[in-house]
Amino acid sequence: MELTRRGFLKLSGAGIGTAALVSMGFNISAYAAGMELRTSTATETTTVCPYCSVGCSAIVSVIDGKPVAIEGLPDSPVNRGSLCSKGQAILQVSTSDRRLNKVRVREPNSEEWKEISWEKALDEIAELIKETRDANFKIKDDKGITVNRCDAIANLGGAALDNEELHMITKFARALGLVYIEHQARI
Amino acid sequence: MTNHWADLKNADVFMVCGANPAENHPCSWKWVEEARDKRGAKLIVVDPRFTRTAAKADYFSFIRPGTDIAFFGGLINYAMEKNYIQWEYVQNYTNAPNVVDPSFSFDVKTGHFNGWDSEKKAYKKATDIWKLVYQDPNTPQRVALIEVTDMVNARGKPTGMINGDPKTCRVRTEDPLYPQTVFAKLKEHYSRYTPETIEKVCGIPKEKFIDIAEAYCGGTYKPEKSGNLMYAMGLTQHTVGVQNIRTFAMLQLLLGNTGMPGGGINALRGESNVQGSTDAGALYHILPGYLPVPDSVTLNSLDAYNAAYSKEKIGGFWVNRSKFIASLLVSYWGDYARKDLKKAFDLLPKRDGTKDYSHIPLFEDMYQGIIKGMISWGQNPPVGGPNANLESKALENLDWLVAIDLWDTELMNFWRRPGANPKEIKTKVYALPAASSIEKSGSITNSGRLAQFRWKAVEPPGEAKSDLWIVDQLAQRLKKLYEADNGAPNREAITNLFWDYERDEHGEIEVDNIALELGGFKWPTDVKGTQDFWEKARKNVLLNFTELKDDGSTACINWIYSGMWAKEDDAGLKIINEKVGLPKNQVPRNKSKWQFQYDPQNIYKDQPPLSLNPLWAYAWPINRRIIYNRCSADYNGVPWAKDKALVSWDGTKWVNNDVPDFSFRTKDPSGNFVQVPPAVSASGVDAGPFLMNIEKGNQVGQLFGNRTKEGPFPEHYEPRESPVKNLLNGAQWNPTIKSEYNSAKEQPDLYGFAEVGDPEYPYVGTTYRLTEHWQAGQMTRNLTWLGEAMPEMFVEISKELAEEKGIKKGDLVEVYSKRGKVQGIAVVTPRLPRLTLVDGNGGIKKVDIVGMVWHFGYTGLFPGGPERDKIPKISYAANQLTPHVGDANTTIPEYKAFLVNIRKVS
Ligand code: SF4
Repeated sequence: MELTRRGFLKLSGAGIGTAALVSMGFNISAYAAGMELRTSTATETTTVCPYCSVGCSAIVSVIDGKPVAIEGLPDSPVNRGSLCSKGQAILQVSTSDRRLNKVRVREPNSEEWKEISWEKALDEIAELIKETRDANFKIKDDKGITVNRCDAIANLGGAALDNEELHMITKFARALGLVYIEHQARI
Repeated sequence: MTNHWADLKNADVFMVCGANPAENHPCSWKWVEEARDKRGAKLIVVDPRFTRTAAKADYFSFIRPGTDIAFFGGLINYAMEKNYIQWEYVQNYTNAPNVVDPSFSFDVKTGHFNGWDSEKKAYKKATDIWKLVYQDPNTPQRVALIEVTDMVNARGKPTGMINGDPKTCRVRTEDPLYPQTVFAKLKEHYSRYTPETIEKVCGIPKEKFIDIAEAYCGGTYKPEKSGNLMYAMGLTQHTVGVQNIRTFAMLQLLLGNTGMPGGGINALRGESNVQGSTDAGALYHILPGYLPVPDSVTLNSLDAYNAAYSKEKIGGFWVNRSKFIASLLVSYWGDYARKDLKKAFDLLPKRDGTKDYSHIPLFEDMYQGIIKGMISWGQNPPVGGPNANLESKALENLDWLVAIDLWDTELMNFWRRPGANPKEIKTKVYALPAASSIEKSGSITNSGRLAQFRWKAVEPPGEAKSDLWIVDQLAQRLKKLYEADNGAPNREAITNLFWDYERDEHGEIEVDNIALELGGFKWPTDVKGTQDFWEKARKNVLLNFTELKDDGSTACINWIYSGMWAKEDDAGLKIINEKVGLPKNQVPRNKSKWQFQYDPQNIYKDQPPLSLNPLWAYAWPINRRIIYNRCSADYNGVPWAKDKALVSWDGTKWVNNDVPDFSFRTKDPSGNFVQVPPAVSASGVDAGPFLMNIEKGNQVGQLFGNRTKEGPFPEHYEPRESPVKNLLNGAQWNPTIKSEYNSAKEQPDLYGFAEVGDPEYPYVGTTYRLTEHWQAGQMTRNLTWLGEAMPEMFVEISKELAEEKGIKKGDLVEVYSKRGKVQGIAVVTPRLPRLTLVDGNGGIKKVDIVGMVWHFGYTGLFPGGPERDKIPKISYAANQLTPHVGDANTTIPEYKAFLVNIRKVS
C-alpha cells in the first residue's frame, strides 16, 4: 500500500474526520455515509486546487484510471471541505477532450500545425537553445566584468507549476545564463 | 500574506481594497463570515465597483481607480488627528520615534521630495538623501514620543512602557527633538489629506469617508483589536502599486495591527502557485529565497555580494545572506561549488545592473529584436499581457517559441491570431502538451505561504508530460551537447550543473529529492552513486536555515524553505506520533505532505482557537504561521489580546503557540540555549520584532523608509493616464516611473498614451475577474461547466453613461483606448458609478468608469464572442487597451486605471 496517499490518512485514525470514524465503527451522519459509499470502489488521492491561491484541498476519486469525482477535503483547515465552481471543474480539466495530447510544431511561415515526436521535438529545442545561446553569449561586458549571460532567450511563466518543477526550471535557466526570466507574478 | 487564510477568522475589522474575495477567492470567504458571526467583525469594502464582496459590507464606498494613496493617506491623517494610535506599539516597534535628517523635505509645488535631480529627472541614491540621524554608526537616535516608564532598555535605547492609559496618553510635543521625529514628519506630510480633499480626489463623499475611517482606525487602534487588510491586484497594478501597499502597511503600524492574529497585510494572490514561483526566483531580479540576482555593477563577485550585506554595513537577519547564497551555489553546482564558491558564483549570469528585464521591457526588447527565442511554461501574454497588440506583434520577431501548456492557447497560436498573416510570420513554434495538477506530484504554496503537497491521481492524457519531465529532458540533452563542445562559452555552468536525481520507473525525477534540496542538507562525501548520495542526504538534513553555512558544506536551494524536511527528532513527527499513534516511519518527512491538526476530533466544531494548524503542511519560514508575531505582545511579552496569544513571556521563558519571529533564544558561550528576555527581543536591535529590516540597530517597522524609489512617505500621484490634473501636488504622475517605452515613443498612435483629461478618451477603464473564469482563460474557457456559465466578453457601465451614449443592456459595444479596441456585450448597472471629482485645473468633473473582464481572447471553446471553438475575426482580450507602463519599483503594469471611450456597435 502506498502510504503517502489518501489511504495513509485513513490509516492514521484520528488524523481524519469522518473516514476514520467509519472505520472505527462509530455512529456517523448520513452525509458522511453517503460520501463513503460513493467513493467506496474508488482510489482516493488528495490534491490542491490549481486555480486561485486559497489552496483548497480536494479528494480525487479514481476508478479504472479515470477521475470520477472531485470533492472538497473536509479535513483541510483551509477550505474545510468546500470548493468553488473552479475547484469543482478540476475533473473536467483532466477529462476534457480538448486537452493537448500530442506534441506539435508550426514551421516558419506555415499555416498549420504538424505532429512531431517528443524525441525529435526535444532534440530540436535543445539544439535551438544551444545555437541561440552560444551565438548571443556575453562572457564579459564593456567594462571587463565577467557577466556570463545570454540576452537572446526569455523564460516565461510558472505560476501554475509545482515548487519542485519551478526550482529545477530556474536552476536550468540560470545555468544557461538567461536573464530574461519572468512570470505571472510580475504582471 | 503576513497572516494566512484561516486566520481571517481572528479579525475585528476587515478593509478590503482592490480585491474581491467573495468572487475571486470564494473559499476564503467562510473565514470572513466566521469572524463576523463569532467576533462581530465589521467589513469595509472600498472599490471602483459594487462587487459581491461589497454586497456583504457594513461600509462600502466607490473609489476612483488609482487614488488609493489619497484614501489611505486620508486614513493616516484621520488616525493621527483623532489620536487613534496604538502608542506602545508605535513607540517600541516602529521608527516613529527616530529622528529624521534635517535635509528631508517635500515640495508640494513640484511633488518632489528632497534629492530630486531635475536634470536627470531622477532622485539621487535613496540611502544618501533619506536618512535617519544616528548617535553612533550602530545606534539611531530615538526620542520618547509619549510619557514612558522604563526609559532605557538592556541595550541602552530609549524605549519602554506607556505610563498610564494608552487612550489618553499625551504626545510629548515639548521635546525639542519632536518636530524632527518620523512621527511629526509623517503627521505633517499627511495633514493635507483631509476628508474634503479625499472627496475631491477619490470621489468618496466626506461623510462616508469619516464613517469608514472611524470604523477602521477607531475600531482597531486598541491594542487587543485586529484590523486586516485584504488586497489584490486592484492595489498593485498601478504606477504607484508598491506605494499603495506601503501606505496601508504604515497605517497598520500606527494602529498596531501587524503581527496580530487577524491582522496584517494580506495579499490575496491570483494563481495557485504564484507565491511558490516567486519564492523560486522565477523573476529577473531574484534568485530563490529573494536573494538578489547578481549584476554587473554592484553585485558582480561573491566578495562584493557578501560585503554588501556584511555586519558592518547592515543590521537584522539579512547578515546571514552569505550562508544562503553559498548553500544555493552548492545545490546548483555541487562539488564544483564546494571547491570554489567564488568560481561557482561567476558561473551565474550577471544582469546589466543599469537595465530592467521585467515583463514590459522584455516584450519591448522582443519587439526590438533583441530576444530571439522564448520558452513559456503556461503563460499566455496575448490575453494576460499589457498592451496585448504590441506584445503579440513582438512575438513575430522571435525565431522560435516553445509553449508548454494544457490547452491550445492564444500564445502558441499567435501566428494565426485575428488580423495576422501566417505566411509572413517566421517564428517556429513548438506546442508541448503538459500534465495537469492531478496528473503529477509536487507541492504548491498558497497565499498564506503554506506549501501543500498534491499527489498524482491519474496519468496525463496521450503524450502529455509533467513540466518537471520536460525540463529534465531538456537539461539532460543540453548537458550532453555541452559536454561534447569544449569551446562553448561558460560551458562549465552546464556541464557541472548538479542534476543527479533519483528517478522513478517512468524516468521522472523523484520530487522528494527536490523537497530535500529545499529543506537543506549537509553535502554528503564519499558517495557511491545517485542512490547513495540521496540516502546520505536524507540522513544529514538540517533543522532549518540557522544551520546553513557559508563554507560550501551545506546545500539548500531555497533558504526560506529550509526546515521543510523533518529531521529524525523533529517535534512535529513526535506530536503526530503521540497524538495520532501513527508509526514514526509512516509519517512523511516532507512536511508539505502533512495533513494533521492538533485536535482532529474538533475539526467540525471549532478548531483550536487560533487555527494556526501547525501540523497542516508547511508554512515558510520555519513553519511560522503569522509573521512579525513579536508584535502581538507588549514590551514585556504580555499578549495584547489574551484570547489570541501567539507568543508570551511567562517570567522565565517564552511560551510559543506560533514559531517566534524574533530571537527568543540564543546560545550561551558553552553552546546551551538560553532564553532572550522581552526587553531585548523588543529592543529593535538585531533581535527585534522586524528582523528583516536592514537598518542598523533598528529592527522595527519602517514608517520612514528609503527602500522605495518614490520617497520616504507615499504621495498621491495620478495614474499615467488620468481624466484630471493632480490636485495634491505639482507632479502629474509618479515622477520615478519610466513614462514611455520605445514602442510609445516610436509609434505613439499605435502604442502611446492619451493626454491628461483627453476629450477623446474621457472615461476611466479598469479590468477585473470572475468566479467562473481564471486569469488568461486557458484553464476555464475550454471547460463547458465554466464556459457556459460565463460564455462571453462583457462591458459594465453606469446608467448615466449608458443613457448619454444611447446604449442599452445587451447591446454590442466597443471600448477603445489609444492602443486598441475590444468588443463586448453592454451590462448597464448601478454597480459602476459616475463619480464627482474636483480637477486640479479647477472645476467639478463627473467621471465615469468602464469595467471589463480580462479573461477572453481568441482561442478555446469560448474565445469571448459568439464563436465556439474557432478563432474569431477579432480578439476579445481587454488587454488590447492597457498601456505599457508600470510601477517604479516593480514595473507591474498599470492595468487598473487607463483612459477609454465607448461606442455602440450598430
Ligand atoms: S476551489 Fe476555488 S477558492 Fe478554492 S483554491 Fe480553487 S479556485 Fe480558489
